Parts: sequence; structure tokens; C-alpha cells
Amino acid sequence: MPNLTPYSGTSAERLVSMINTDNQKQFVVGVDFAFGSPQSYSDAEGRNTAVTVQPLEGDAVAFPETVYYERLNISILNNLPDGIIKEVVLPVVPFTLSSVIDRINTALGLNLTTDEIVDKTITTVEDSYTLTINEATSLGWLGSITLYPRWPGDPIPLKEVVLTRNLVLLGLTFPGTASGD
Amino acid sequence: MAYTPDFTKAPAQILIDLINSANSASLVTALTPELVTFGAPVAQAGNANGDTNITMTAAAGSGYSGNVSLNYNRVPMSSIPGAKSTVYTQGSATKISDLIPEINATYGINLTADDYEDAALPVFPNQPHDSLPFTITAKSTSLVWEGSLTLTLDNNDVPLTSVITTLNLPGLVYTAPTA
Repeated sequence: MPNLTPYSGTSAERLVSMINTDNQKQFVVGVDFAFGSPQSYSDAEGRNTAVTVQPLEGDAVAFPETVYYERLNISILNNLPDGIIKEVVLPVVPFTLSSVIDRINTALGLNLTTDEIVDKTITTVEDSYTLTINEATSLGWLGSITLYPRWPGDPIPLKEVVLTRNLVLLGLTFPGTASGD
Repeated sequence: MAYTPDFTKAPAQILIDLINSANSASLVTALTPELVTFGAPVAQAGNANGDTNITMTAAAGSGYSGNVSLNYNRVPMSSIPGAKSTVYTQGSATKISDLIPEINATYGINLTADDYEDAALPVFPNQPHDSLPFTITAKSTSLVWEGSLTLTLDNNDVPLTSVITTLNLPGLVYTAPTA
């Protein structure tokens, strides 16, 4: 099983993909339109977010000016199979979370941007840190998630590199021996 | 994904090769027996993920940490011979372990003392052309094998000297018929 990253892509890319799928279009964010800031919303179908869509090229975009959808709580990543969410390889303190966003993305299998997280400066070595989503700006995520650090020189958890643990399909099968072999 | 186990390797290496092959996309370098250790395999009959569960733990200083739980199928010993002969001559062997080198060579395997329960071979009565079955049973702790394998043991040719002990015969006396 290769590294599993079901939520890869920026939040804007994932939202555009959803809009394009629903509308059978090929819109490109930043070319055809820009998103406004996400707003809290609720309806009976579980949508929790409303966001305005601002066309950039005349009438190229022809769909409602506001789209409604469900942002996921980033803690949903904890439901992925063990080992998919990895330790974050961190530098020596102090550092800011925004300065290690690429490392965080590598560990979580995401493409968060620095404006999607609540930045803070890490000054002490801890067993874990909390990454909080900036819900006023993140198009794709809500909530927070615990980050587990791996410091320089720390060993790599086996669970991060041995992802395929049910080995039956590959299997140990004795081929049998033909007479005279 | 093509994978052909090499059963001539040491048991732990056979299992590590399987793990490496299944995880080649996520392992930067292949695991080796020096980097990991295995707990005792636990049989789990009827489990769709495999009939055996085992814990692999990172060795100290290996650069890895923690452990993972793995599921796989061990190989039934009964599948070993295929179409090859299952008959062995006793020679000087008195225990199963005495025959293991010949058995390994015959089938292209590497049964080790960790894989099977050693036991005495059958004892033949002193008669020629006798054959008796004997069974090699996999240890429950074998990393690779399970079940048992029944083979046939032919006894050695019986030396004539052991059965013909009266060498000076009383002679042949011809008795002529009477009229």
C-alpha cells in the first residue's frame, strides 16, 4: 500500500473540484473566480460552510454566487489507518508552525497553506503540539489536530514505513517441487 | 506484484523479505534481521487477514522505533514434497534432525531447529524391506511453517552377518532311498 493521502490538494483546489463535479465544468480558481471568506452555515444535509464566489472574467462563471458545503474537521485524519499520519520532522526549537508548514503537510498528507493555520512559535520540546485551523480563512478545514514531533536523530516509527501489514495476498506459498527437480 | 519466496533462506529472512516486498513503496531501505525482531507468532485460524499474527519490533539502534502487528499465512509443511519422493533411508540417523540436511537439500528448503519438533525415528524390527512412516511437526513458534509432514523411512539393508550367525553348517546328508 503506497502512502495514502486522500485529502491531498489545497483547500481551494478541493473545493473547485467539488464545484466542477457538481456543475460539470472545468473552472480554474484564480482564473475564472476567487473565493470569499468561508462563513459558518448549517442545514439539514450537514453543510456547515457558505462561501461567496467572485467571478474574475465576465460571465464565464454561471452558477450561484454562494456555494454551500461541508468543511471537515481536521481531526478526521485520526481515523485513517495507523501509520498514515506520521510524526512531524521538526527542527531545533524555536520555530513557528508556519515555517514548518511543508513538514506538517508531509506528515499529514495535506497541502495546508500558512493562512489556514493559527500560527504560533514553538519554544520548548514537547511530546505533542496542537495545530489549530484558522476557520476564518480555511476553505477546507475546521478544528484542530495533535501533531507528534520527531526530532533530529530520532528513530523512524516502524508503523510509518511498514504500511502493508496484511501479507496474505503477497503470501508465503511453497511452490511445490516437481519430480526430478 | 510478483513475489517468490526463497525458502532456502533463514526463517526470519524469509519473513522479512515478504515484509520488504509488500512495503517497498514506503521503505527507503530494506529491513534486515539486524534491524527488527519478531515476537512469537500467534495462530489465528479463520482470520481472513491471515492464519498467523506476529509483532515486529524495531531493534535498539536500528534507526526505527516501535512495533507493528503483521498478519500472514504460514506454509503448511504438508505442501513441501510436491511430486518429489517422500522416502528416506535411515542410514545412521536415529532422530529427525539427523535427516534434516538431506530433507532440506531434497526440497530446497531450510528447516532449522526453530522450525520443527525433533523426535526419534521409528525403530525397525530386524527384517529387510521394511518401511515406517515418521512425521515432522512444525513448532508453534516457527516463523514460516505450520502443520506437519509425514515421510517414509526405509530401514537399512540387513547385513547377512546379523541374521546368518551359524556359519559352520551341519552339512548336507544325503539319505539314499531304500528299495
